[in-house]
Amino acid sequence: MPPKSKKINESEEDEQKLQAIVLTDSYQTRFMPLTSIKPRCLLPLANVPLIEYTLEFLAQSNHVSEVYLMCSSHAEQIQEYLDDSKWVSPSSPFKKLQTITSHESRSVGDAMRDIDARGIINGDFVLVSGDVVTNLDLGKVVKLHKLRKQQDRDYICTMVLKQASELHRSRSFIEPSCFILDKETNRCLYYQDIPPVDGAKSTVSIDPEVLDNVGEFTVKNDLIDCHVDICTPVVPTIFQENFDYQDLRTDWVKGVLTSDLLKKHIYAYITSHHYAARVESWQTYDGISQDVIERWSYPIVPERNMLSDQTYSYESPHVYKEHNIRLSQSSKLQSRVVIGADTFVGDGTSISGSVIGRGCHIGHDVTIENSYIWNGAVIGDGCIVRHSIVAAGAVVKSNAMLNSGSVIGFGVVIDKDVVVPNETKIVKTPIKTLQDSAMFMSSSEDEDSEDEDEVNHAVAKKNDVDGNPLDSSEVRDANVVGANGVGFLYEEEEDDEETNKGYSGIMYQMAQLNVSDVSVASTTVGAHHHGSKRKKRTYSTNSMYISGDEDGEEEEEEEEEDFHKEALATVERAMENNHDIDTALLELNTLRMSMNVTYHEVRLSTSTALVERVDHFIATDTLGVKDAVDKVFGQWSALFKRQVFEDSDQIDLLLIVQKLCCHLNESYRSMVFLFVLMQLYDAEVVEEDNVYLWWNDKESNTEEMRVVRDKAEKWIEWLQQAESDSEEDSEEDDE
Amino acid sequence: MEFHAIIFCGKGNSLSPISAVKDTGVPKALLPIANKPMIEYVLEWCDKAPFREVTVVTDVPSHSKISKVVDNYKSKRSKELANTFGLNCISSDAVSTGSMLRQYGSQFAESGSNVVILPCDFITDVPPQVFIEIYRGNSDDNLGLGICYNNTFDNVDNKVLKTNYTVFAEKDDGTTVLLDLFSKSSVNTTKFLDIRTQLLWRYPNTSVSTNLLDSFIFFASAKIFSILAERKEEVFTKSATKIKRDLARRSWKHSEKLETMGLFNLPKQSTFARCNNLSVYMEVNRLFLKQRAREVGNVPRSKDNTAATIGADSIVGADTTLGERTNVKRTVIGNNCKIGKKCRITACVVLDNVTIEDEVNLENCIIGQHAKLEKKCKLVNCNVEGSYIVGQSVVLKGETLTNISLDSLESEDALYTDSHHSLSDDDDDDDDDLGSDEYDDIGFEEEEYEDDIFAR
Repeated sequence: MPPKSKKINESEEDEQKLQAIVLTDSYQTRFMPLTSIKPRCLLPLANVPLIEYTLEFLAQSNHVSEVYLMCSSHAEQIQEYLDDSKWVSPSSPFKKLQTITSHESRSVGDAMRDIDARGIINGDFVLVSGDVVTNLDLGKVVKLHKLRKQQDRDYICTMVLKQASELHRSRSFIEPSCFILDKETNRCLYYQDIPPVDGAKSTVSIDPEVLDNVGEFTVKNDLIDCHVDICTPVVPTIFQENFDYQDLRTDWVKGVLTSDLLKKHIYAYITSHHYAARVESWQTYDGISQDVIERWSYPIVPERNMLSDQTYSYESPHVYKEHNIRLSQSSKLQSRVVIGADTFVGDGTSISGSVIGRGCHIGHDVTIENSYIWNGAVIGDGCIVRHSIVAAGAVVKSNAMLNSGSVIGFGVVIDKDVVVPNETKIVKTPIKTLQDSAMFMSSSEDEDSEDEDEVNHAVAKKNDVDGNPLDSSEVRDANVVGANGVGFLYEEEEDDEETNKGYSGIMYQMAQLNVSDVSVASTTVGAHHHGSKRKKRTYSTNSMYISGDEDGEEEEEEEEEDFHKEALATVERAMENNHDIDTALLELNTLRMSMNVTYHEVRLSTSTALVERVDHFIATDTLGVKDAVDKVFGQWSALFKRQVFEDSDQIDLLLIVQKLCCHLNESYRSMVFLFVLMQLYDAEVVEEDNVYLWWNDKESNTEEMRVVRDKAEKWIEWLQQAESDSEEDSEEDDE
Repeated sequence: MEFHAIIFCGKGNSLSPISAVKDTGVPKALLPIANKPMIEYVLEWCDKAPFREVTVVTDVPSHSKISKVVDNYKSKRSKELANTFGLNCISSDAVSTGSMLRQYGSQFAESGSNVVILPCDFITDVPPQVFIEIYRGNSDDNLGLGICYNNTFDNVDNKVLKTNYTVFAEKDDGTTVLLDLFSKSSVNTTKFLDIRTQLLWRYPNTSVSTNLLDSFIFFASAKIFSILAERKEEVFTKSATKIKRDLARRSWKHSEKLETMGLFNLPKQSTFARCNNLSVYMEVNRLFLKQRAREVGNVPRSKDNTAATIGADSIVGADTTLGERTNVKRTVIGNNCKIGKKCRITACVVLDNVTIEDEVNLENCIIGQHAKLEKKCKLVNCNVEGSYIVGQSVVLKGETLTNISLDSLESEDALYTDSHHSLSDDDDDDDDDLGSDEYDDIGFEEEEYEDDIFAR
């Protein structure tokens, strides 16, 4: 024990200082496909990784002593990056900088619950997202925070909001947030996302109860929500108590404000002098980049040289250059340009409103407007690049044209003369479904280094533009990248879902949940389903019951049983009362989280309920076998879509169903199984390849299980037949 | 800028039982404040402006009574005023402001002058020039200017006042525009205050007040009548508030910018009140009594100890007799009343021709005309209908006393609900407009909205 007096001094000092929680993961897919390789917080903005802006802001305030970074996807990359950064050096302004890996987290809510479980928080803290760019004076906010804390017993949080205009380029257009504030005190009364300006007509619906005793309030649709919140320690516990809270605003803020029980108050701090915004979409990435270049965020500007090895200097009109740049005589850097070191710009090339990374090679007679070219990219002669992003190591060969909104992924090669249409996103390795993309997001060690290798590879070859960099094994989408290109079109199905229908309520959450679920499930890529169950379980015990490992086992058993009962009842109730799928899913998910069980259990319970219902219909002669299966599974197999994420899950599901069917009446069990199989296949819950894998799995062919295989066998054969047919077809098409 | 003022005289639904809702009552416009009919205050206010022409619109039954008072006022006007600025009183059988406009709207539109719509029940210390100046200062985009005020009486509970959710925005030039209106009752039934996102994109910094009261004073440009005329028949059944709200919504519902509705909030330090319910009516009377007390100062006590005592803060009408040892404090007593001996009358409003017998004790009561209070009765916080007879030695607290007749028995229920809704329909000073209880928010015409509101 150190001497007492010293300890008191220390704690006093600490009391003055705040802890900071940085959420490095956005739990969104807005920056796909780039975030499949790099986490959002490491994407460069004006040639500086986003996380630097956040840490710079925290360091600048001098109010923060400990920083915890909550990482989910790509945690290793973030750790690695920080290990080499100035933030861990002896001269770091922070007493402590720690990354916390929380693979389990699939939303801000989960991260907060994890934080609470770990008991990190010992006082007031700053909750900030790892993608904020601001020159805010945190001191002022902290002062106000302390004042409000004294004045209002129910005070728990201050949100920092930036006064802007409704169509400010750095404001989120995807889900503009609308704050309802008490005019006198700036207490937030209500919060709601509204559809974009050209979106659906909708309403902000305020419960008059929250307006009690409020004389006058404002409904503000002109604020930038930069996700900088100063919180009291109550905040994580509220998340813990309400395990259905996912999103920081739509769930938490709205939930707290409308709750009859909590009666807690959240306030806003509106700043109009400072700059504050969040890089949360392509559009804000562009907007904030331009703001930084135009010095709205001063002193957070390129020549601040936030990275220790940067050498930017400022020239009018808003041109920032590092040392060692080779600019050809007739090249023109018009206004608003940032260029990194070792970059070459060819003759007759014109660049405006753009950021060029380090080690780039820009050819002759190139036009680059309002685009972002990351480190080591190569732009060939005569290219035209407008409103696009070219990620690190990508190569755009001569006379190609990138139209507005195109994103060229890491290491992609665009062949010469190719025209990339508007809003096209291209990746090097195909990400055909979200499941696959998730594998990248979680990126096990191997994949990671592989990606890096590929990037380096491409960089190394950058001068060899006209060579043939293609490996014979590599595949490409020739329509998109040209005959000698490398890359695939990235389909944005899920993103569309998010932007089109996901504005409010559960649907939105579902879309998000789905994405994040995937990232968790994929921590066990390749593991067998039984193995995966155990493995995931270990994770959860680690994060949720830090000290309870010994009793964990028993508790789990019990919980599994409880869960099974509850979940069964939930699904039955849903079918009985014809709930919609989302409600049932939400209930199941809540159960799953509260009981802390894996998806295997969820699948088991769901399947049991469905098969039992089918059995019931058949046994009571209400419906025929096929009709019964079609009715039950036709409607409800959608449940599995949020329970099955990877290949092993599909096999697991098939085994579960098979086993369940074995216990049915002998006379119709194999028929039931066949129809269930077909339904699951038609609903795209299981994929063809996995059907085969399952079919060949030893477990599905045991004595016990074999009894329902006979009917299915024919179908499998038919499937294989059809497969080869279609392959032939497609081959013919190719020719 | 020339104005045509139109004063709408309603029955006074929320002033029951002393108003014309009852057969025994007085039309609202004629209810006395400090022994002077309300409408006279309004007419005096108009003549301060003065407006080119003033028209008093009454319903048919009360026309004869009101026109008498108006004629009386006319005769008191100075000559030059009377010669230049017209004043007349007409009756209308219209049931809503909308139907009023159908009858007279085209006249207004043709005359091309601005119209000021006034209620008959407001009292203010703000001269009309202030409003006119604000109206002039507003941008030409405004179709009209509505005036809102805050309740300044501490004694009046906000619940008896008709407050709305007033949605408005302050523009860069410092003026305010009205964007939407919701009645509290309709919000409470639907459980939600729905603010359209279209509105929020047009006015991203929108304020909502839960305290503002509608003064009913409205400055309308001639343009408004042509716009209303274009709108189909539906307008003609609507109340003034609804017409105003629809015009306000019109300003942001469309993709192109349309004319807005101006709004002016009277500053809190000014006095403004509408005597459209009993508690405010009482408070306004007291306000005048206080003023009078300040002006008069202390009245020397009468040497005759047995004479009635009338406080400096009280007004007693002409031809009223007071018995011995009667004590009157903070009270208005009308004309032709007979008050007996040893009465104590504190903080009351007693209308004309009331008979009060000996040893009656009244506190905080409103007594309708021709009522009779028999010996030794004691009333606290009561409202008594005209011609009602309170029996001997009756002791009552907080009651509303109304005549029992076959007629009223039948309409009792209807009346009850009426007064409940009167919060909103009182706005329509023209007449009891049954349709205006709740603004039908469903009737929000969406079809006119075009999708490309911000075609970018």
